[in-house]
Amino acid sequence: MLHVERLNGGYIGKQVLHNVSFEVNKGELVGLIGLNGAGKSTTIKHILGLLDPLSGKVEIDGETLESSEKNYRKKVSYIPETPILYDTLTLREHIELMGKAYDVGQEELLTRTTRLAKEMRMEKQLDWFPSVFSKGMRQKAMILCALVTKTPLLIVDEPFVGLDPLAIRQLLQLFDEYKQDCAILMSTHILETAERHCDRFVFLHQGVVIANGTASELREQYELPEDATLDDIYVVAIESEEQSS
Amino acid sequence: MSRFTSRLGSWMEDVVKYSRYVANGGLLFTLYFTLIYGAFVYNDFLTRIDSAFPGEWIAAAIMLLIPLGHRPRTFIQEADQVFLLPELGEIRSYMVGVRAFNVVFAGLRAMLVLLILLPLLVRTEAYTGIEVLAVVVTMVLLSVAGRLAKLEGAGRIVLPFALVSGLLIVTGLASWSFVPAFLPFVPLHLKRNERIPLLHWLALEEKSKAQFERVISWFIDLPTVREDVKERRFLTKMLENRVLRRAEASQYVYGLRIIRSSDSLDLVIRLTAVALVVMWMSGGWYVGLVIPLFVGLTALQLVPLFKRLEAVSIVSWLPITKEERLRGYTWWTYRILLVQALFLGLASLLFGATWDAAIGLILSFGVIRYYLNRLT
Repeated sequence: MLHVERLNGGYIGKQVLHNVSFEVNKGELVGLIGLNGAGKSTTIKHILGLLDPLSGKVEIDGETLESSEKNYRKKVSYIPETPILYDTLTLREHIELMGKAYDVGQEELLTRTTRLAKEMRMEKQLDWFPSVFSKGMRQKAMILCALVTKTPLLIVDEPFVGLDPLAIRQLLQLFDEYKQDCAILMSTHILETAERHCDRFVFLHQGVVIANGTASELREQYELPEDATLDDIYVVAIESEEQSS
Repeated sequence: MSRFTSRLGSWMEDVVKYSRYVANGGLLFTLYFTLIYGAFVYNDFLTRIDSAFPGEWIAAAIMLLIPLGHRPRTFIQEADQVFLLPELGEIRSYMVGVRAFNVVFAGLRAMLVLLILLPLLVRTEAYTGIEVLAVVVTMVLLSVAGRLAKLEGAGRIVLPFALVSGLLIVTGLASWSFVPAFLPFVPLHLKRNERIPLLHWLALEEKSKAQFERVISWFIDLPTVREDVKERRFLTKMLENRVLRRAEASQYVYGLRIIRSSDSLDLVIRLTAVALVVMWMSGGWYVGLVIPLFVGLTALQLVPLFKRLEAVSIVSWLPITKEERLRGYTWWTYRILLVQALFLGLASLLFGATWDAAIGLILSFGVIRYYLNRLT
């Protein structure tokens, strides 16, 4: 579904990503794991087309930004780390906007909204303006807006920030359901949760992919026992990378 | 350097920097033209009125209004909620500095109002020098008291005193009007804050800063400007059935924004109301020229909003192209400005316009096209 190939990129005068390549397939929830400043958000910005790559290719469901910006963008929805909402639109109107932007039919949109709002305990807040939302509500609103689109690829940047434990559990259930016929790329620091819910992991360190695979593949790669947690694997991966460089 | 002096210094740097940008901006032309035209119309108006004109009532009304609507600056920053806490009880000099700064500003605001009011009073009332001085002092005192009341969180404590001052003006006792204007300083002194009311002053600073940035954003791109939102349920419902339901995504989002933001529809209504007053004062063959003038002033402020909207928005990653966004915003702005121009065109006929209304409308159309072409 998502195909990133030899991506070099970053900001003007500062290259952050070096030959980043990985894939996210349909039915997968892939964890993008890395330290602060590893390049996770930069990778996401490149996939979303918010930054221009120096070289390399990003393809979503066969579409690239160059072939058709509109078709490309219609295949991906995004939950940012910091919620961004319009002060002048209620939550329901944000969802309406998503429906129009992603060409989701009125009836379908209504069905999805009703179900998701109920599951995320946001029914009462549908007609509220974001200015009265708490931090957690803002995050839930962003999640709701992204999930109603049902795009082939969902990109999530640190989704658990500001959410209560109940909401985190609900969100993970929704992700499990969403990925059945779509794909999810999730950047997170919470390795314990990632270990339980992600199908595969991409370890990013200083803008380079240092490891990529399922938990058992990574254990094998770093010669770790079967009970080694993702936390253990990650520490060993970083240490061996730093030793070799 | 004290904390207040250093923050005042940063503020002055900002003012100088932005003033330079504004002075160099081509859009300033519209504002210059408005000021010159306004002065011309007002002068003409003054020559046509005599002592029968109720100048003293207007002065009294302004006295009631001048303590209101102040946005005091406090230079308090968000981080002060954490880092200033240990010093709160000790920084009295900061409070003195803030009060002094606001007193000067309130005085300046009163002087600006007096620049307009005094010629009217001199023209319509047989005032002596003492009486004119008393009006000046009253106006300055009421303005200062109003601003300080906001700063100390004392509400509308000044209004009863302003009412008495106004009544003295109306009853021909103008030379005594300054006495009630002095009195609010007694309760203000008693109610003054001994320690900085951090959250209150932070809120005041944010509002004042937002207002400053809003004015600057007419001329240069400032993506961080905040806006006030009104729900306007009736208007939204009305447009929802006619326009919004069928609208494209970008038309939808900008439509709702224009309806609800104090920077859009409110602005159009405010400026249209002022245009009607100017038309009433004009009363000459040039009434029609008020139309392009105010349509231009509205466009001058509406057009930069697009760039501000673009800066931080979820639209950046949605499947809405830049062209679609531009089209959506232009669609609304064009129609709003056109309706304003047509409304003012019709109104100008009531104020004596004839063929000049047609010229005004044609010019307005040109002005609208000019400003919309600047949207890129």
